[in-house]
Amino acid sequence: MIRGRVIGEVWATRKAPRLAAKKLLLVAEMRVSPDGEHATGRVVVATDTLDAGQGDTVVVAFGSGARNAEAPGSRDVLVDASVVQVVDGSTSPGSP
Amino acid sequence: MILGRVIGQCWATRQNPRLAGKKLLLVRPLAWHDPDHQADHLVCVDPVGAEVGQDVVVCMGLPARWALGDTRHPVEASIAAIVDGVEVFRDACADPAFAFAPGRLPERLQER
Amino acid sequence: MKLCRVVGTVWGARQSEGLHGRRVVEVRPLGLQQAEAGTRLGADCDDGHLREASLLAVDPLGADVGQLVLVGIGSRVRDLVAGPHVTTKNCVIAIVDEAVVEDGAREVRP
Repeated sequence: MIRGRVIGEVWATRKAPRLAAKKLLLVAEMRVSPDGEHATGRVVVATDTLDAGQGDTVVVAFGSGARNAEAPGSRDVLVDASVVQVVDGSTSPGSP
Repeated sequence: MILGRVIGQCWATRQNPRLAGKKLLLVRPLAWHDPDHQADHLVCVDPVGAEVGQDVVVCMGLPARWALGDTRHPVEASIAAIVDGVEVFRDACADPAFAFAPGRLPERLQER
Repeated sequence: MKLCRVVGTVWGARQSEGLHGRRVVEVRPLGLQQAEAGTRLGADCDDGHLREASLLAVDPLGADVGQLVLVGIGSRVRDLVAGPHVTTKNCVIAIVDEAVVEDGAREVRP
């Protein structure tokens, strides 16, 4: 899992049949260090079932973890990144 | 998943039999870079029917194989969706690190 | 598996069901490229060994901030350690008391 910030949304009508997800978010990976939070430059498209919004700090899971968020135990869901937590707080040094 | 633009197509005669008849597209990742990845492009199987110039969402790994029906295909990236539009939140990406690289902007990008 | 140091915990009320009741920790992997032979790594080792990257993992063991942990990455490990329906592939699988670099990691590089 990585820490990220929601920076946008992606709309699509034509999707592969197994991409069941309704909402696709653009999430920028963030790194916290004692001097603050900054972006690493990596941006992923993640599905969202938690209704995360603009600027939210989120936790993004990849691979089978992301599929578990869409449908627990599934293998045939066309998802490889998913928002699994909207962060309320963190004790890591530098996190807001 | 990542956001990319279809920049071309490739064909092969001698290939794994499970790839026969599959459309292979060249995709350049848009707002994405990952130090682990050496190349600036991906070859993706296309079960959706994307065309050159369109922006797409690319899915990687095991689910990419499921997109073709089962997991026995020797494939690690497939096109999951054709992008209608991208909306970025102006405040959330005020940090210059979020800026899309020049010339790599999705065409239907809107700011909110 | 990676040797990492716990740098903090992360929590949020809105989370997927697979994370309910789970402790999520932020860890930074150790980079041993520069480690000399005989380097001892423990909870008190300095931050110079930490790499820039950080990742988040589910922690069933309750590691404290600052401790060295072994993080397993992969669905098999996750199934065994945290359960098959947990929404991550990264799990803390051990709290490390001490690790010793026997041979200079520099020489081991290909």
